[in-house]
Amino acid sequence: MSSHQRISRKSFLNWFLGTSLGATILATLYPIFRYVLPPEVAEAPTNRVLAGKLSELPPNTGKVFRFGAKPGILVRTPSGEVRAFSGICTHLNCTVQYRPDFQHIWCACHNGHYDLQGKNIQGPPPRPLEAYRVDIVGDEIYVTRGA
Amino acid sequence: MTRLLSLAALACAALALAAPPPRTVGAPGKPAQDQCTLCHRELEEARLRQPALLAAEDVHHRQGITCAGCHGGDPAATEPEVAMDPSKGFVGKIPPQKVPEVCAACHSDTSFMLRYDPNIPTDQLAQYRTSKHGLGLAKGDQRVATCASCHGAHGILPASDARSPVYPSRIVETCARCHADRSLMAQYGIPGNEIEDYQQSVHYQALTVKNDLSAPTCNDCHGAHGATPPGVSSVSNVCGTCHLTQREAFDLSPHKDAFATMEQPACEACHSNHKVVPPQDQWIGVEEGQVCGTCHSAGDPGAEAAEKIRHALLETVQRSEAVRQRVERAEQRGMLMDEALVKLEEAHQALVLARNDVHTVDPARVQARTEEAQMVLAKAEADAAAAEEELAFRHRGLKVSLLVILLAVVALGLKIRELEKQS
Repeated sequence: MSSHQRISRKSFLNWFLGTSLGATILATLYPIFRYVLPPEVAEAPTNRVLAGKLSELPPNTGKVFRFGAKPGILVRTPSGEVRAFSGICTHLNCTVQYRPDFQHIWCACHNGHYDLQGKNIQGPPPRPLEAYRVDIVGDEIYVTRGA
Repeated sequence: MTRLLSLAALACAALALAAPPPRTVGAPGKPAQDQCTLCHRELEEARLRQPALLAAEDVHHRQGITCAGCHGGDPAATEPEVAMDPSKGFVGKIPPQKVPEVCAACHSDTSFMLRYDPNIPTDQLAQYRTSKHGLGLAKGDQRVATCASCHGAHGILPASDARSPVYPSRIVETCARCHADRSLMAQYGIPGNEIEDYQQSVHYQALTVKNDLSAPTCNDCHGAHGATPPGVSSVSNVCGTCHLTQREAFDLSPHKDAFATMEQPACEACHSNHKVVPPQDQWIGVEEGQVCGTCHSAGDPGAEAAEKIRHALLETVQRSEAVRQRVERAEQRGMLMDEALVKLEEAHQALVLARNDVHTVDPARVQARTEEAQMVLAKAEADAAAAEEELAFRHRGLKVSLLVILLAVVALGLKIRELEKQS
Protein backbone atom coordinates (compact mmCIF):
# COMPACT_ATOMS: atom_id res chain seq x y z
CA MET A 1 0.00 0.00 0.00
CA SER A 2 1.47 3.40 -1.00
CA SER A 3 1.96 6.19 1.56
CA HIS A 4 -0.45 8.32 -0.49
CA GLN A 5 -3.15 5.71 -0.04
CA ARG A 6 -2.38 5.41 3.70
CA ILE A 7 -2.61 9.19 4.19
CA SER A 8 -5.83 9.30 2.21
CA ARG A 9 -7.32 6.46 4.30
CA LYS A 10 -6.07 8.05 7.50
CA SER A 11 -7.56 11.43 6.66
CA PHE A 12 -10.86 9.75 5.66
CA LEU A 13 -10.94 7.88 8.96
CA ASN A 14 -10.22 11.08 10.85
CA TRP A 15 -12.94 12.89 8.96
CA PHE A 16 -15.37 10.00 9.49
CA LEU A 17 -14.61 9.82 13.20
CA GLY A 18 -14.74 13.59 13.68
CA THR A 19 -18.00 13.98 11.79
CA SER A 20 -19.75 11.07 13.47
CA LEU A 21 -18.59 12.14 16.94
CA GLY A 22 -19.69 15.70 16.17
CA ALA A 23 -23.09 14.45 15.05
CA THR A 24 -23.37 12.28 18.18
CA ILE A 25 -22.65 15.31 20.35
CA LEU A 26 -25.29 17.29 18.41
CA ALA A 27 -27.80 14.44 18.80
CA THR A 28 -27.16 14.50 22.53
CA LEU A 29 -27.25 18.27 22.92
CA TYR A 30 -30.43 18.89 20.87
CA PRO A 31 -32.87 17.12 23.23
CA ILE A 32 -31.14 18.82 26.18
CA PHE A 33 -31.57 22.19 24.46
CA ARG A 34 -35.26 21.44 23.73
CA TYR A 35 -35.77 20.34 27.31
CA VAL A 36 -34.32 23.58 28.69
CA LEU A 37 -36.49 25.79 26.43
CA PRO A 38 -39.98 26.44 27.84
CA PRO A 39 -42.65 24.40 25.98
CA GLU A 40 -45.29 26.11 23.84
CA VAL A 41 -48.00 24.62 26.07
CA ALA A 42 -47.77 25.54 29.71
CA GLU A 43 -47.28 22.36 31.70
CA ALA A 44 -49.81 21.87 34.44
CA PRO A 45 -48.61 21.74 38.00
CA THR A 46 -49.84 18.63 39.73
CA ASN A 47 -51.82 20.07 42.60
CA ARG A 48 -51.34 23.84 42.91
CA VAL A 49 -52.19 26.59 40.47
CA LEU A 50 -52.36 30.36 40.34
CA ALA A 51 -56.08 30.68 39.74
CA GLY A 52 -56.50 34.44 39.54
CA LYS A 53 -56.03 37.79 41.16
CA LEU A 54 -58.05 39.09 44.06
CA SER A 55 -58.31 42.54 42.49
CA GLU A 56 -59.96 40.99 39.41
CA LEU A 57 -62.56 39.08 41.42
CA PRO A 58 -65.05 41.45 43.07
CA PRO A 59 -67.62 40.09 45.56
CA ASN A 60 -70.51 38.09 44.03
CA THR A 61 -68.49 36.97 41.02
CA GLY A 62 -66.83 33.77 39.91
CA LYS A 63 -64.13 32.69 37.52
CA VAL A 64 -63.43 29.41 35.80
CA PHE A 65 -59.74 28.52 35.83
CA ARG A 66 -57.76 25.57 34.58
CA PHE A 67 -56.36 22.86 36.76
CA GLY A 68 -54.34 20.98 34.18
CA ALA A 69 -56.85 19.61 31.72
CA LYS A 70 -59.80 20.11 34.06
CA PRO A 71 -61.70 23.26 34.96
CA GLY A 72 -61.95 24.65 38.47
CA ILE A 73 -64.18 27.47 39.65
CA LEU A 74 -63.13 30.33 41.86
CA VAL A 75 -65.97 32.02 43.70
CA ARG A 76 -65.95 35.25 45.65
CA THR A 77 -69.03 35.21 47.82
CA PRO A 78 -71.19 38.32 48.30
CA SER A 79 -69.52 38.69 51.70
CA GLY A 80 -66.09 38.71 50.03
CA GLU A 81 -64.83 35.24 50.95
CA VAL A 82 -62.85 33.39 48.26
CA ARG A 83 -63.60 29.70 47.67
CA ALA A 84 -62.56 27.22 45.02
CA PHE A 85 -64.15 24.03 43.76
CA SER A 86 -63.85 21.58 40.94
CA GLY A 87 -65.58 23.16 37.94
CA ILE A 88 -66.98 19.85 36.71
CA CYS A 89 -70.67 19.29 37.32
CA THR A 90 -71.20 15.97 39.08
CA HIS A 91 -74.14 15.16 36.83
CA LEU A 92 -72.75 14.90 33.27
CA ASN A 93 -69.36 16.63 33.53
CA CYS A 94 -70.32 20.03 32.08
CA THR A 95 -68.42 23.07 33.32
CA VAL A 96 -70.27 24.97 36.02
CA GLN A 97 -70.40 28.77 36.33
CA TYR A 98 -71.16 31.38 38.98
CA ARG A 99 -74.53 33.09 38.67
CA PRO A 100 -74.49 36.50 40.40
CA ASP A 101 -78.32 36.64 40.16
CA PHE A 102 -78.68 33.33 42.03
CA GLN A 103 -75.64 34.09 44.21
CA HIS A 104 -74.50 30.51 43.80
CA ILE A 105 -72.94 28.05 41.36
CA TRP A 106 -75.01 26.81 38.45
CA CYS A 107 -74.66 24.35 35.59
CA ALA A 108 -76.21 25.39 32.32
CA CYS A 109 -76.51 21.88 30.90
CA HIS A 110 -79.30 20.55 33.12
CA ASN A 111 -79.95 23.42 35.51
CA GLY A 112 -77.97 21.99 38.40
CA HIS A 113 -77.50 24.29 41.38
CA TYR A 114 -74.75 24.24 44.00
CA ASP A 115 -74.56 26.48 47.05
CA LEU A 116 -71.53 28.49 48.07
CA GLN A 117 -70.14 25.45 49.87
CA GLY A 118 -70.30 23.48 46.60
CA LYS A 119 -73.21 21.39 47.87
CA ASN A 120 -75.75 20.24 45.29
CA ILE A 121 -79.01 21.92 46.25
CA GLN A 122 -81.28 21.63 43.22
CA GLY A 123 -81.54 19.78 39.94
CA PRO A 124 -79.94 16.52 38.88
CA PRO A 125 -76.35 16.76 40.27
CA PRO A 126 -75.94 13.77 42.61
CA ARG A 127 -72.92 14.94 44.59
CA PRO A 128 -71.29 18.17 45.80
CA LEU A 129 -68.40 19.77 43.92
CA GLU A 130 -64.97 18.84 45.24
CA ALA A 131 -63.65 21.71 47.36
CA TYR A 132 -60.09 23.00 46.96
CA ARG A 133 -57.90 24.91 49.38
CA VAL A 134 -57.44 28.61 48.69
CA ASP A 135 -54.31 30.55 49.65
CA ILE A 136 -54.11 34.28 49.04
CA VAL A 137 -50.60 35.67 48.68
CA GLY A 138 -50.76 39.43 48.21
CA ASP A 139 -53.12 39.85 45.27
CA GLU A 140 -52.65 36.32 43.95
CA ILE A 141 -55.07 33.49 44.60
CA TYR A 142 -53.48 30.04 44.71
CA VAL A 143 -55.64 26.95 44.68
CA THR A 144 -54.44 23.58 45.95
CA ARG A 145 -56.11 20.32 45.06
CA GLY A 146 -56.26 17.35 47.40
CA ALA A 147 -55.25 19.44 50.42
CA MET B 1 -131.32 17.40 70.80
CA THR B 2 -129.97 17.03 67.24
CA ARG B 3 -127.49 19.81 67.97
CA LEU B 4 -126.37 18.02 71.11
CA LEU B 5 -125.88 14.79 69.17
CA SER B 6 -123.85 16.60 66.53
CA LEU B 7 -121.61 18.10 69.19
CA ALA B 8 -121.16 14.67 70.76
CA ALA B 9 -120.26 13.20 67.34
CA LEU B 10 -117.73 15.97 66.76
CA ALA B 11 -116.22 15.36 70.18
CA CYS B 12 -115.91 11.64 69.44
CA ALA B 13 -114.25 12.40 66.09
CA ALA B 14 -111.82 14.75 67.82
CA LEU B 15 -111.03 12.10 70.43
CA ALA B 16 -110.43 9.52 67.73
CA LEU B 17 -107.72 11.73 66.25
CA ALA B 18 -106.30 12.89 69.57
CA ALA B 19 -102.82 12.01 70.72
CA PRO B 20 -102.60 8.86 72.92
CA PRO B 21 -103.28 9.19 76.65
CA PRO B 22 -100.28 10.53 78.59
CA ARG B 23 -99.71 7.28 80.52
CA THR B 24 -99.00 5.46 77.25
CA VAL B 25 -96.29 7.91 76.29
CA GLY B 26 -93.00 8.44 78.11
CA ALA B 27 -90.47 11.21 77.81
CA PRO B 28 -89.12 11.74 74.27
CA GLY B 29 -85.66 10.25 73.77
CA LYS B 30 -86.15 7.69 76.55
CA PRO B 31 -87.17 4.10 75.63
CA ALA B 32 -90.65 3.10 76.74
CA GLN B 33 -90.98 1.06 79.92
CA ASP B 34 -94.02 -1.17 79.64
CA GLN B 35 -95.21 -4.51 80.84
CA CYS B 36 -96.50 -5.48 77.39
CA THR B 37 -93.09 -6.23 75.89
CA LEU B 38 -91.88 -7.95 79.08
CA CYS B 39 -94.72 -10.48 78.92
CA HIS B 40 -95.03 -10.82 75.14
CA ARG B 41 -91.36 -11.61 74.57
CA GLU B 42 -91.84 -14.74 76.71
CA LEU B 43 -94.85 -15.98 74.76
CA GLU B 44 -94.56 -19.11 72.64
CA GLU B 45 -96.80 -18.00 69.80
CA ALA B 46 -94.54 -16.25 67.27
CA ARG B 47 -97.14 -13.73 66.10
CA LEU B 48 -97.50 -12.48 69.69
CA ARG B 49 -93.80 -12.70 70.60
CA GLN B 50 -92.33 -11.07 67.49
CA PRO B 51 -93.79 -7.55 68.05
CA ALA B 52 -92.22 -7.46 71.52
CA LEU B 53 -88.83 -8.51 70.15
CA LEU B 54 -89.04 -5.82 67.49
CA ALA B 55 -89.95 -3.12 70.02
CA ALA B 56 -86.34 -2.46 71.00
CA GLU B 57 -85.60 -1.15 67.49
CA ASP B 58 -88.95 0.56 66.96
CA VAL B 59 -88.66 4.33 66.54
CA HIS B 60 -91.80 4.86 68.65
CA HIS B 61 -90.77 2.56 71.47
CA ARG B 62 -87.31 4.16 71.53
CA GLN B 63 -89.01 7.53 71.96
CA GLY B 64 -91.06 6.40 74.96
CA ILE B 65 -94.29 5.41 73.20
CA THR B 66 -95.58 2.14 74.59
CA CYS B 67 -97.56 -0.56 72.79
CA ALA B 68 -100.67 0.95 74.36
CA GLY B 69 -100.08 4.08 72.28
CA CYS B 70 -101.61 2.19 69.35
CA HIS B 71 -103.29 -0.85 70.92
CA GLY B 72 -104.76 0.82 73.99
CA GLY B 73 -104.97 -0.93 77.37
CA ASP B 74 -102.85 -0.39 80.44
CA PRO B 75 -99.10 -0.76 79.69
CA ALA B 76 -98.22 -0.76 83.39
CA ALA B 77 -100.54 -3.61 84.43
CA THR B 78 -98.96 -6.99 85.13
CA GLU B 79 -102.18 -8.99 84.84
CA PRO B 80 -103.21 -9.70 81.23
CA GLU B 81 -106.89 -9.13 82.01
CA VAL B 82 -106.18 -5.63 83.29
CA ALA B 83 -103.55 -4.78 80.66
CA MET B 84 -105.86 -5.83 77.82
CA ASP B 85 -109.11 -4.62 79.33
CA PRO B 86 -111.41 -3.19 76.62
CA SER B 87 -112.69 -0.74 79.21
CA LYS B 88 -109.17 0.71 79.25
CA GLY B 89 -109.31 1.22 75.49
CA PHE B 90 -107.61 -2.03 74.48
CA VAL B 91 -108.33 -2.78 70.81
CA GLY B 92 -105.92 -5.65 70.07
CA LYS B 93 -105.05 -6.11 66.42
CA ILE B 94 -105.91 -2.97 64.50
CA PRO B 95 -107.96 -3.68 61.36
CA PRO B 96 -106.48 -2.24 58.11
CA GLN B 97 -109.27 0.31 57.70
CA LYS B 98 -108.43 1.77 61.12
CA VAL B 99 -104.63 1.91 60.65
CA PRO B 100 -104.42 5.40 59.04
CA GLU B 101 -106.50 6.96 61.81
CA VAL B 102 -104.50 5.24 64.56
CA CYS B 103 -101.20 6.52 63.12
CA ALA B 104 -102.71 9.94 62.42
CA ALA B 105 -103.76 10.26 66.08
CA CYS B 106 -100.17 11.35 66.68
CA HIS B 107 -98.85 12.03 63.19
CA SER B 108 -101.53 14.62 62.36
CA ASP B 109 -101.11 16.36 65.70
CA THR B 110 -98.62 19.16 65.05
CA SER B 111 -98.08 20.09 68.68
CA PHE B 112 -97.55 16.44 69.67
CA MET B 113 -95.10 15.80 66.80
CA LEU B 114 -93.16 18.93 67.71
CA ARG B 115 -91.88 17.08 70.76
CA TYR B 116 -89.99 14.68 68.51
CA ASP B 117 -89.11 16.56 65.34
CA PRO B 118 -90.02 20.19 64.61
CA ASN B 119 -89.78 19.59 60.84
CA ILE B 120 -91.79 16.41 60.54
CA PRO B 121 -94.79 16.76 58.20
CA THR B 122 -98.22 16.22 59.71
CA ASP B 123 -100.32 16.06 56.56
CA GLN B 124 -99.80 12.38 55.77
CA LEU B 125 -103.40 11.39 56.51
CA ALA B 126 -104.79 14.24 54.41
CA GLN B 127 -102.52 13.15 51.56
CA TYR B 128 -103.31 9.49 52.05
CA ARG B 129 -107.03 10.17 51.72
CA THR B 130 -106.42 11.63 48.24
CA SER B 131 -104.27 8.68 47.15
CA LYS B 132 -105.42 5.67 45.16
CA HIS B 133 -104.76 3.61 48.28
CA GLY B 134 -106.74 5.93 50.55
CA LEU B 135 -109.63 6.19 48.10
CA GLY B 136 -109.73 2.40 47.83
CA LEU B 137 -109.70 2.01 51.60
CA ALA B 138 -112.56 4.50 51.91
CA LYS B 139 -114.57 2.27 49.55
CA GLY B 140 -113.92 -0.68 51.83
CA ASP B 141 -111.08 -2.31 49.89
CA GLN B 142 -108.86 -3.84 52.58
CA ARG B 143 -106.16 -5.03 50.16
CA VAL B 144 -104.87 -1.53 49.50
CA ALA B 145 -101.74 -0.25 51.20
CA THR B 146 -102.06 1.51 54.53
CA CYS B 147 -99.30 3.02 56.68
CA ALA B 148 -98.21 -0.39 58.03
CA SER B 149 -97.98 -1.91 54.53
CA CYS B 150 -95.00 0.29 53.71
CA HIS B 151 -93.55 1.30 57.10
CA GLY B 152 -94.21 -1.97 58.86
CA ALA B 153 -96.40 -2.49 61.91
CA HIS B 154 -93.79 -3.23 64.57
CA GLY B 155 -90.09 -2.44 64.58
CA ILE B 156 -90.77 0.70 62.55
CA LEU B 157 -87.55 2.45 61.57
CA PRO B 158 -87.11 6.10 60.57
CA ALA B 159 -87.20 6.64 56.79
CA SER B 160 -83.58 7.81 57.02
CA ASP B 161 -82.47 4.38 58.31
CA ALA B 162 -81.01 2.33 55.45
CA ARG B 163 -82.80 -0.76 56.83
CA SER B 164 -86.21 0.91 56.62
CA PRO B 165 -88.52 -0.35 53.86
CA VAL B 166 -89.11 3.30 52.92
CA TYR B 167 -85.41 4.20 52.61
CA PRO B 168 -84.93 5.55 49.05
CA SER B 169 -83.04 2.53 47.72
CA ARG B 170 -85.57 0.10 49.26
CA ILE B 171 -88.81 1.79 48.25
CA VAL B 172 -89.03 -0.07 44.97
CA GLU B 173 -88.94 -3.48 46.66
CA THR B 174 -91.53 -2.26 49.17
CA CYS B 175 -93.91 -1.14 46.40
CA ALA B 176 -93.07 -4.35 44.50
CA ARG B 177 -94.63 -6.45 47.25
CA CYS B 178 -98.00 -5.55 45.73
CA HIS B 179 -97.22 -3.87 42.42
CA ALA B 180 -95.11 -6.73 41.04
CA ASP B 181 -97.99 -9.15 41.72
CA ARG B 182 -99.55 -9.23 38.26
CA SER B 183 -102.62 -11.19 39.33
CA LEU B 184 -103.36 -8.73 42.14
CA MET B 185 -102.67 -5.72 39.91
CA ALA B 186 -104.86 -7.12 37.13
CA GLN B 187 -107.82 -6.67 39.47
CA TYR B 188 -107.12 -2.92 39.45
CA GLY B 189 -106.47 -2.69 35.70
CA ILE B 190 -102.73 -2.18 36.29
CA PRO B 191 -100.35 -4.20 34.06
CA GLY B 192 -98.00 -5.12 36.94
CA ASN B 193 -94.82 -4.72 34.87
CA GLU B 194 -94.02 -1.29 36.32
CA ILE B 195 -91.44 -2.53 38.81
CA GLU B 196 -89.71 -4.72 36.24
CA ASP B 197 -89.60 -1.78 33.81
CA TYR B 198 -88.36 0.64 36.43
CA GLN B 199 -85.53 -1.73 37.35
CA GLN B 200 -84.24 -1.37 33.80
CA SER B 201 -84.30 2.41 33.98
CA VAL B 202 -81.48 4.91 34.23
CA HIS B 203 -83.08 6.13 37.46
CA TYR B 204 -82.85 2.72 39.13
CA GLN B 205 -79.25 2.37 37.93
CA ALA B 206 -78.37 5.76 39.43
CA LEU B 207 -80.07 4.81 42.69
CA THR B 208 -78.62 1.35 43.13
CA VAL B 209 -75.37 1.29 41.16
CA LYS B 210 -74.17 4.86 41.69
CA ASN B 211 -75.83 4.98 45.11
CA ASP B 212 -77.34 8.36 44.18
CA LEU B 213 -80.17 8.71 46.70
CA SER B 214 -81.51 11.77 44.88
CA ALA B 215 -82.37 9.61 41.85
CA PRO B 216 -86.12 9.18 41.56
CA THR B 217 -87.81 6.10 42.86
CA CYS B 218 -91.57 5.30 42.95
CA ASN B 219 -92.60 7.98 45.45
CA ASP B 220 -90.67 10.79 43.74
CA CYS B 221 -93.04 10.75 40.76
CA HIS B 222 -96.19 9.26 42.30
CA GLY B 223 -96.02 10.85 45.73
CA ALA B 224 -95.53 8.92 48.94
CA HIS B 225 -98.64 9.23 51.09
CA GLY B 226 -100.71 10.76 48.31
CA ALA B 227 -99.59 8.08 45.82
CA THR B 228 -101.42 8.40 42.54
CA PRO B 229 -100.39 8.17 38.87
CA PRO B 230 -99.50 11.56 37.39
CA GLY B 231 -102.15 12.51 34.86
CA VAL B 232 -101.45 13.20 31.19
CA SER B 233 -101.18 16.93 31.80
CA SER B 234 -98.82 16.61 34.74
CA VAL B 235 -96.23 14.15 33.39
CA SER B 236 -93.97 16.90 32.02
CA ASN B 237 -94.29 18.76 35.33
CA VAL B 238 -93.25 15.66 37.25
CA CYS B 239 -90.23 14.97 35.01
CA GLY B 240 -89.51 18.70 34.80
CA THR B 241 -88.93 18.99 38.53
CA CYS B 242 -85.49 17.48 37.87
CA HIS B 243 -85.16 17.83 34.08
CA LEU B 244 -85.96 21.53 34.00
CA THR B 245 -83.92 22.51 30.94
CA GLN B 246 -85.50 19.77 28.83
CA ARG B 247 -88.93 20.84 30.01
CA GLU B 248 -88.21 24.47 29.11
CA ALA B 249 -87.00 23.38 25.67
CA PHE B 250 -90.08 21.19 25.24
CA ASP B 251 -92.35 24.09 26.21
CA LEU B 252 -90.82 26.07 23.31
CA SER B 253 -91.58 23.31 20.84
CA PRO B 254 -94.66 22.81 18.68
CA HIS B 255 -94.99 19.43 20.43
CA LYS B 256 -96.31 21.07 23.59
CA ASP B 257 -99.61 22.16 22.08
CA ALA B 258 -99.82 19.14 19.77
CA PHE B 259 -99.46 16.69 22.65
CA ALA B 260 -101.98 18.63 24.73
CA THR B 261 -104.46 18.55 21.85
CA MET B 262 -104.00 14.81 21.40
CA GLU B 263 -104.13 14.32 25.18
CA GLN B 264 -100.80 12.54 25.03
CA PRO B 265 -98.34 12.56 27.93
CA ALA B 266 -95.31 14.63 26.98
CA CYS B 267 -92.02 13.06 28.12
CA GLU B 268 -93.49 9.57 28.32
CA ALA B 269 -94.27 9.50 24.60
CA CYS B 270 -90.57 9.16 23.69
CA HIS B 271 -88.90 8.13 26.95
CA SER B 272 -91.52 5.74 28.36
CA ASN B 273 -92.71 6.12 31.95
CA HIS B 274 -91.05 3.50 34.12
CA LYS B 275 -88.52 2.01 31.71
CA VAL B 276 -86.62 5.26 31.18
CA VAL B 277 -83.44 3.97 29.56
CA PRO B 278 -80.55 6.27 28.57
CA PRO B 279 -81.70 8.13 25.44
CA GLN B 280 -79.86 7.47 22.17
CA ASP B 281 -79.34 9.86 19.25
CA GLN B 282 -80.40 7.00 16.96
CA TRP B 283 -83.91 7.18 18.42
CA ILE B 284 -84.56 10.36 16.45
CA GLY B 285 -86.26 9.56 13.17
CA VAL B 286 -89.25 7.85 11.64
CA GLU B 287 -87.70 4.48 10.78
CA GLU B 288 -88.55 1.33 12.70
CA GLY B 289 -87.41 1.59 16.31
CA GLN B 290 -87.21 5.38 16.18
CA VAL B 291 -89.53 7.42 18.35
CA CYS B 292 -90.68 10.14 15.95
CA GLY B 293 -92.31 7.52 13.74
CA THR B 294 -95.14 7.15 16.25
CA CYS B 295 -96.71 10.37 14.94
CA HIS B 296 -94.64 11.37 11.88
CA SER B 297 -94.05 9.57 8.61
CA ALA B 298 -91.31 9.83 5.98
CA GLY B 299 -91.45 13.02 3.95
CA ASP B 300 -93.45 15.15 6.36
CA PRO B 301 -91.81 18.28 7.87
CA GLY B 302 -91.45 16.62 11.26
CA ALA B 303 -89.57 13.67 9.75
CA GLU B 304 -87.28 16.04 7.83
CA ALA B 305 -86.53 18.01 11.00
CA ALA B 306 -85.79 14.77 12.85
CA GLU B 307 -83.43 13.68 10.07
CA LYS B 308 -81.51 16.97 10.26
CA ILE B 309 -81.28 16.79 14.06
CA ARG B 310 -80.11 13.16 14.09
CA HIS B 311 -77.54 13.81 11.36
CA ALA B 312 -76.13 16.86 13.19
CA LEU B 313 -75.81 14.92 16.44
CA LEU B 314 -74.38 11.71 14.99
CA GLU B 315 -71.86 13.56 12.85
CA THR B 316 -70.64 15.49 15.90
CA VAL B 317 -70.51 12.38 18.08
CA GLN B 318 -68.49 10.47 15.47
CA ARG B 319 -66.02 13.30 15.04
CA SER B 320 -65.79 13.79 18.78
CA GLU B 321 -64.94 10.10 19.24
CA ALA B 322 -62.35 10.17 16.47
CA VAL B 323 -60.67 13.29 17.86
CA ARG B 324 -60.77 11.94 21.40
CA GLN B 325 -59.03 8.76 20.26
CA ARG B 326 -56.29 10.79 18.51
CA VAL B 327 -55.80 13.02 21.55
CA GLU B 328 -55.73 10.11 24.00
CA ARG B 329 -53.32 8.18 21.76
CA ALA B 330 -50.96 11.17 21.71
CA GLU B 331 -51.28 11.50 25.49
CA GLN B 332 -50.52 7.79 25.96
CA ARG B 333 -47.39 8.29 23.86
CA GLY B 334 -46.17 10.91 26.29
CA MET B 335 -47.40 14.20 24.81
CA LEU B 336 -48.91 16.89 27.02
CA MET B 337 -52.48 17.17 25.68
CA ASP B 338 -54.15 19.31 28.36
CA GLU B 339 -55.24 22.02 25.89
CA ALA B 340 -56.84 19.46 23.58
CA LEU B 341 -58.53 17.68 26.50
CA VAL B 342 -60.06 20.98 27.65
CA LYS B 343 -61.37 21.54 24.11
CA LEU B 344 -62.83 18.05 24.09
CA GLU B 345 -64.68 18.87 27.31
CA GLU B 346 -65.99 22.08 25.70
CA ALA B 347 -67.20 20.04 22.73
CA HIS B 348 -68.83 17.55 25.11
CA GLN B 349 -70.64 20.41 26.82
CA ALA B 350 -71.88 21.81 23.50
CA LEU B 351 -73.13 18.32 22.62
CA VAL B 352 -74.98 18.01 25.93
CA LEU B 353 -76.65 21.37 25.26
CA ALA B 354 -77.47 20.26 21.70
CA ARG B 355 -79.21 17.20 23.12
CA ASN B 356 -81.21 19.45 25.44
CA ASP B 357 -82.24 21.46 22.40
CA VAL B 358 -83.53 18.30 20.71
CA HIS B 359 -86.61 18.88 22.86
CA THR B 360 -87.29 22.12 20.96
CA VAL B 361 -87.42 19.97 17.77
CA ASP B 362 -85.83 22.95 16.01
CA PRO B 363 -82.98 21.74 13.74
CA ALA B 364 -81.47 25.25 13.59
CA ARG B 365 -81.00 25.37 17.37
CA VAL B 366 -79.47 21.90 17.49
CA GLN B 367 -77.20 22.64 14.51
CA ALA B 368 -76.01 25.89 16.13
CA ARG B 369 -74.85 23.84 19.13
CA THR B 370 -73.28 21.07 17.07
CA GLU B 371 -71.45 23.63 14.91
CA GLU B 372 -70.06 25.14 18.08
CA ALA B 373 -68.89 21.66 19.11
CA GLN B 374 -67.40 21.03 15.65
CA MET B 375 -65.41 24.27 15.80
CA VAL B 376 -63.88 23.32 19.14
CA LEU B 377 -63.25 19.79 17.87
CA ALA B 378 -61.38 21.23 14.86
CA LYS B 379 -59.04 23.03 17.28
CA ALA B 380 -58.55 19.88 19.36
CA GLU B 381 -57.88 17.94 16.17
CA ALA B 382 -55.24 20.52 15.16
CA ASP B 383 -53.61 20.06 18.58
CA ALA B 384 -53.64 16.30 18.07
CA ALA B 385 -52.15 16.66 14.58
CA ALA B 386 -49.39 18.93 15.94
CA ALA B 387 -48.65 16.41 18.68
CA GLU B 388 -48.52 13.59 16.15
CA GLU B 389 -46.15 15.64 13.96
CA GLU B 390 -43.95 16.34 16.98
CA LEU B 391 -43.92 12.64 17.85
CA ALA B 392 -42.99 11.75 14.26
CA PHE B 393 -40.18 14.32 14.39
CA ARG B 394 -38.90 12.82 17.63
CA HIS B 395 -38.98 9.35 16.13
CA ARG B 396 -37.05 10.53 13.07
CA GLY B 397 -34.57 12.26 15.39
CA LEU B 398 -34.12 9.08 17.40
CA LYS B 399 -33.45 7.03 14.26
CA VAL B 400 -30.92 9.58 12.99
CA SER B 401 -29.25 9.75 16.41
CA LEU B 402 -28.97 5.96 16.57
CA LEU B 403 -27.50 5.86 13.06
CA VAL B 404 -25.01 8.60 13.93
CA ILE B 405 -23.96 6.79 17.11
CA LEU B 406 -23.56 3.56 15.13
CA LEU B 407 -21.39 5.32 12.59
CA ALA B 408 -19.32 6.87 15.38
CA VAL B 409 -18.76 3.43 16.90
CA VAL B 410 -17.69 2.05 13.49
CA ALA B 411 -15.37 5.02 12.93
CA LEU B 412 -13.91 4.61 16.38
CA GLY B 413 -13.33 0.91 15.72
CA LEU B 414 -11.56 1.59 12.45
CA LYS B 415 -9.41 4.29 14.06
CA ILE B 416 -8.36 1.97 16.88
CA ARG B 417 -7.47 -0.72 14.33
CA GLU B 418 -5.34 1.74 12.38
CA LEU B 419 -3.56 2.97 15.49
CA GLU B 420 -2.84 -0.64 16.48
CA LYS B 421 -1.34 -1.29 13.00
CA GLN B 422 0.90 1.80 13.28
CA SER B 423 2.20 0.73 16.66
